[in-house]
Amino acid sequence: MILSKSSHLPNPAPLDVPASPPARRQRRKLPRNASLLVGIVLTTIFLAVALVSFFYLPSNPNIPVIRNRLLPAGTAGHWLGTDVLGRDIVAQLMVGARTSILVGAGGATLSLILGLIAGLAAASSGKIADEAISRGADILLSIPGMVTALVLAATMGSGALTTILALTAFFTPSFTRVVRSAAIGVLNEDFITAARLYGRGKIFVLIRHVLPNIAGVMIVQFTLYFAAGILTEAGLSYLGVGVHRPSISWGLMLNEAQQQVGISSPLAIWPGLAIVLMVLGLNLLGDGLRDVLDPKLARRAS
Amino acid sequence: MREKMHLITQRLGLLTAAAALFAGALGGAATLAEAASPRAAENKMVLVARQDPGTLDFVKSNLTAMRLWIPANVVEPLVYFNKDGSVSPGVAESWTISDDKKTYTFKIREAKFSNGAPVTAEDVIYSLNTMKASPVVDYAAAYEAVTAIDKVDDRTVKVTLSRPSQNFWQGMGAISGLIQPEASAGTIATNPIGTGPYKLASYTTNSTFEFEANPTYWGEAPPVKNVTVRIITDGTAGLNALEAGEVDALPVITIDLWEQLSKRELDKKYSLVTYPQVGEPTYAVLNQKLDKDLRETIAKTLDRQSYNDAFGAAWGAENTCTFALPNQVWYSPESPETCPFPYDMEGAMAAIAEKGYASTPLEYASLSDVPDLSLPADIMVPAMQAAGFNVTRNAIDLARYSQLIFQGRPPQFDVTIMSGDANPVQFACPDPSKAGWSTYCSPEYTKALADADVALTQEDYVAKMKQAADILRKDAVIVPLIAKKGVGLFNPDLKGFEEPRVNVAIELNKLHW
Amino acid sequence: MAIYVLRKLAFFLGALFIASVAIFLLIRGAGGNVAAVVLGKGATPEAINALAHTYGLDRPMAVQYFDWIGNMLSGDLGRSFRTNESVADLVTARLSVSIPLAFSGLVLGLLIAIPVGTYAARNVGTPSGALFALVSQIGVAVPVFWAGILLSLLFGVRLGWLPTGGWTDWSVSPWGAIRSLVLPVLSLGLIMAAVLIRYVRSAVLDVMNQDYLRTARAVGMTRTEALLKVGLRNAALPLVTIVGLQIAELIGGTVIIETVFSLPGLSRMMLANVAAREVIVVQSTVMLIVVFVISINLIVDLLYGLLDPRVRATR
Repeated sequence: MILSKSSHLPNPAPLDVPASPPARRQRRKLPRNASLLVGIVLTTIFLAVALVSFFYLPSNPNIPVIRNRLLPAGTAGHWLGTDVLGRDIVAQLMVGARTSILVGAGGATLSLILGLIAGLAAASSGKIADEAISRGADILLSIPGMVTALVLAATMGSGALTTILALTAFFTPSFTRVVRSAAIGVLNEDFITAARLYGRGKIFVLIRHVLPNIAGVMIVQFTLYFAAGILTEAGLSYLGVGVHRPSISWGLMLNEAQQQVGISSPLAIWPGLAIVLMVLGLNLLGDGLRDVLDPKLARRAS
Repeated sequence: MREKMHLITQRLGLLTAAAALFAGALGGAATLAEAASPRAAENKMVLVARQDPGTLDFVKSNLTAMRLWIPANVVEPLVYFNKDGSVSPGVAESWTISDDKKTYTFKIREAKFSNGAPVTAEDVIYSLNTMKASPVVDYAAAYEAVTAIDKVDDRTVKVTLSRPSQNFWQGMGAISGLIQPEASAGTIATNPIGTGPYKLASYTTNSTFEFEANPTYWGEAPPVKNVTVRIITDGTAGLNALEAGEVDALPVITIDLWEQLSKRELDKKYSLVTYPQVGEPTYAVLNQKLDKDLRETIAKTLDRQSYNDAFGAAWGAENTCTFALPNQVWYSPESPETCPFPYDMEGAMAAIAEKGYASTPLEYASLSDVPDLSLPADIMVPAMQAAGFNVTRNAIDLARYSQLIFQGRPPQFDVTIMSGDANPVQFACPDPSKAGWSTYCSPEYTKALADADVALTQEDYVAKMKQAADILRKDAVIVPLIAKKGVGLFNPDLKGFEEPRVNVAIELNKLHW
Repeated sequence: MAIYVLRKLAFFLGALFIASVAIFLLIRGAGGNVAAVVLGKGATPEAINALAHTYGLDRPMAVQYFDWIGNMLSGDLGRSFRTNESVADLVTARLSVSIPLAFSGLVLGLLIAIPVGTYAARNVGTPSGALFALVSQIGVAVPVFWAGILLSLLFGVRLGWLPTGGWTDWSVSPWGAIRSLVLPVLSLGLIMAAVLIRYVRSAVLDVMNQDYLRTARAVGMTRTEALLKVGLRNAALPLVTIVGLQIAELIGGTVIIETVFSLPGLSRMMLANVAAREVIVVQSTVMLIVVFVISINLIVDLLYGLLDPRVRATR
């Protein structure tokens, strides 16, 4: 994703839509939950790596050992080699996983909370409030995400917190839209009307009835934004407005690797590969979840 | 039958002749390709600049990106100080200095600016006064002792000083002495006018400078009539352009590219020049308010060789504890005599344990968008932490760094690392309340510099400067690490490069095919 | 219909106003001062204040805001403090890089995505369809700058066919400019293709189930013909929306590709100016982009309303 907010566009069909339309010839089909399985596996691997990094690292990822600089992959003790200051690549990748998860999840969570509040408010309040919130979301979406991130970094100093805030600024408007349309769908159901007639307050209805019914959509969106957040954080760190040493991020590793492009190419490969695998895992997880939880809900949200 | 043979022979002959011609042309073309760049034949050259200066206003800007090209080429100083110590005429064709060194009389040469306007005494007075009022401290400092700048007659200007000043005299051969026409001062930021061998034909930000030979130049016309300076910010792209033959020279190659350069063996295919003027010392700055023993202990955690090794090209930088560049007389490389606090990690750890320095939180301000400085920071901070110091790293961008560190009074940092001008005067503080960005204030240091300035002979001057350098070394506030040389690559046929005389300006008119 | 348009326009203007205030406040909130950046290390606080005064940066915020807005409305986008260049000139120069880049990237993406997405849709549920879908998933997960670095490593460093970076201006050498754009456009295009494949596939899948397709078959078209002639036309509408939105994002969002390949584009200019705290340049440039994006949104909304009466009714 080109630092894009494509996630705010209507969600495309999940990747393994099962049953073919009746008029078509029969063809071999893939297992329904292939993407879900792969997604779970990949995501778990990365979560595990990040967790392990708190207890064990092959060597210190921040202390330079100049005599070990630029060792190739396969060297004893440094399976993927070392960087320009002799720091172990595997250790840096592991610590980088922490940052990606922290920032990606942080941004997605904060957007989820804010998006829920705004979206539910828009769906259940009067027309004016709805217009105001929706238009507000549209305005926020029109300011290029990059600019918001840059200016935030300039204002508050770059770092993990600023990146999380920038991600929140990107995703909350789209989350709001998704929540709003899902909630509107649920609010039109008969059982809601019944509950209101029965005398239940608006907030009660929202929490007790709407929330559980849109939970599936929320979870799916969360994983997709988590993935987008990781990509975005990597991009920002690559540009130099994300996290800084001693924090490590895969994007920062790529930034440092670019200096060495003419000298040691593998440095540029590993962090990028890590990003691809983690984001892929999360995207597959999201798609698989969407498929499993309720294909109809997915349609409603688009 | 014979006719047929004749025909065939004729045809064969023609074919052979054609083949021979073709081969000859190819061979000739091949030789040509191996020889000079295509621009040699057209008498042009293309050089690479790494940074865009933003503004060409040499009164207000002290960016290297501007100082590399505009002085000496477009705008000239009053005099030129040569490498051997002699002084050559510039805009001033002759001068007299009074015995007490307090009066300088300059005879202005009969010349024209590149826009055709004649150089007048008024222009000179305007230029000197403008520099005197320059917001750039380095430029204005030359005029500290100046009390009057007067017109004696249409071709003579007299400058009176309250005391002798070496800085003033040196300044007249540097940026402080650049002469511009008063009438064109308004457009100085995009189109500076001067008496130099070139005039600026065009300047497109982030893209190119175009220089062409100045038709009204008073001296010898430059051999290369058209010069293009391409701004290529990515170092690797610049090296690629050189290898591809798209450009003819990279006069300034920063330390982050040296390793690549030698790995690609560019120093074998092209002429490598090293010259000190564009070099810079990299030095740590410690807050003077910190306890002196603490500062000395920090200094002991600095392993200078590791900073050198980190860049993978030890041929381009020298370890040093003296704040100077190799071309300055008071410079000396790292040695037991000149390094009062050599690298001693065990000693540092012992001192920290003994004096309880671990309980003093130290803030390290690191400039995040300059790779030259963030890499040393990556080495320095872990080293200090390994010794036992409690250091937090505060990575900030240039604008915020300017505000906090350059302008912060009192200093908003405990430790930082900087790279830049080797001008010792930047650390003088005649008025403690107006101490410069490092806010280092030492009356002895300031006095030594003042004495040097007032020196009447070169020997006196050098002795005093050496004394000042020594004071700086022993204070452990400004702690030099490495002195980086200036490194350039030139097409082997582009000859004539000479070390810059006016600050760091690359003298384009000395280059020729 | 007229009310629909008027409401949209009113929103448009309101959005612009709010966005301008937001941008103004945001950039002004950043610490640091362009005068300090210009004067650098040795500057005294007095010199900085004096310079800031000549730039007009010490006036009250409200005054500076209305001054800026007033100028923008009369067509003056302001000037850079350091070089005195007009923002209009700065932006135009950069657009000659950013627009070809964005446009070509998008076109390349579409050229790849439409056939591939259609194929994936036709073969949904089969291994080959799934393979394409997987490839597209992987593509979406690839950070665009990584793609750029890898391509530049392969074609620039290892093979030496194309420049690893840098920009030759159109005026200097059109062929050189094209060469400078090949790798960036390729990186951008491949990623865009990955993103778009999913939407194409989804749109075509939707269409494949529609009645008018069966009608087309009934009339005698082959499956392929039906898909191409009738199906794609209907799939085009949502696709056009998405493409329109992507264009809007691309203009401001190509900063990463521009950084990888050292292209002097619009986004990088903004990055540099934010770093130097050139507030007027940033404000005006961002406003321009916002105007552009909101305009595209407006046009798309109007088109939708025009083409689909149901949309007008529910809004």
